[in-house]
Amino acid sequence: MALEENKNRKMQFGNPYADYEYYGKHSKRTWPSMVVGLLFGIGLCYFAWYRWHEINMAEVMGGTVSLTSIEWILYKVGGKWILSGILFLCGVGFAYLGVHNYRRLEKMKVEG
Amino acid sequence: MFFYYQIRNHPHKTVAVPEITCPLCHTAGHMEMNFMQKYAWVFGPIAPSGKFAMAFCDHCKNHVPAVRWTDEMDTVFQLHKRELKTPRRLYRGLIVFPLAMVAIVGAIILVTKVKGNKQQGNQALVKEAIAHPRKGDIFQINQSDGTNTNYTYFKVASTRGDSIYMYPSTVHLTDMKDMKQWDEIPVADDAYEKTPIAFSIKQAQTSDMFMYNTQPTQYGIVWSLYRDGQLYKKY
Ligand SMILES: [Zn+2]
Repeated sequence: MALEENKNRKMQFGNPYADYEYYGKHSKRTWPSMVVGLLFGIGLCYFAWYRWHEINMAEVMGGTVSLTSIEWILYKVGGKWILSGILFLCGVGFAYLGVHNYRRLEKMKVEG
Repeated sequence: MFFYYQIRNHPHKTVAVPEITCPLCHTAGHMEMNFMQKYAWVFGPIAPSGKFAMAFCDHCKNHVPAVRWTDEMDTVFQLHKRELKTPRRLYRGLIVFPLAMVAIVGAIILVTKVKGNKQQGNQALVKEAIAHPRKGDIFQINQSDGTNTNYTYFKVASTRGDSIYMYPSTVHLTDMKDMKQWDEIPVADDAYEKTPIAFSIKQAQTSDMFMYNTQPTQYGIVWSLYRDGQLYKKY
């Protein structure tokens, strides 16, 4: 049977059928994933700038900033530019994924 | 914290919907809808989520993407979905988890309480034993002169008035690593010195330790009592 893959009820890592699951009319919308991706991505970019600014202020004026251990490693390796750069790239990545997903779904919508 | 979970699909039913025209190949009569429901699995089903369907066309052998569903399909979907009931077992985790939590917390409280009660009983017994020592009683002693500490034993020889005569053990453990060994009480006489030392019972009662009449001050904190083959630990 065509749907026999679904008999394998364990789908832990990703869901290959996500595009085909219909929950209701809202499942036909293509933009929610883009909005989520953009919001998250822009938020992360803002956080990257905010972090850079905070660390810069602490470096120039003297003062303290508490960093998480991962941030601390990045800061030790490459300073505030690497730390904020990586955060910024992650943000751009999320935004891109959102847009990409939107375009993919839009394409799916019109394809014959 | 890491914990393992899965997202599983509960299959509700598969229905043939021949009245639907496939939005992909525009052929009617070959469509079926497979109704399912996702739920999380952590040692058992917990937290079911919304019901959904996947549509498959047996003519063009394609699943219909959710974005391509027609209003016609939506109508049929809503009609069938209304009949579906979330199986009770999918909610099991919502009951089992709190119950398991309550059971675990209850067990911990019970164990601590029983242990606490036992300690209280033992403390009373040790107190009584200091007030009225019996020949052959052995006290587990944490001996110190303020700087050096060792772990040893006192064995009761006799009493007279306020005086208690005890044989100090020749065993002196100095490392906390030997705590297990410390609990193996030596009973034989050759583990003790031949001449007993006198201590004041009254003083031991007030301070919970046996004071030596020596300079510099030396004392032995009573840790437990060994009587009739039983060890009664205070802590
Ligand atoms: Zn078709």
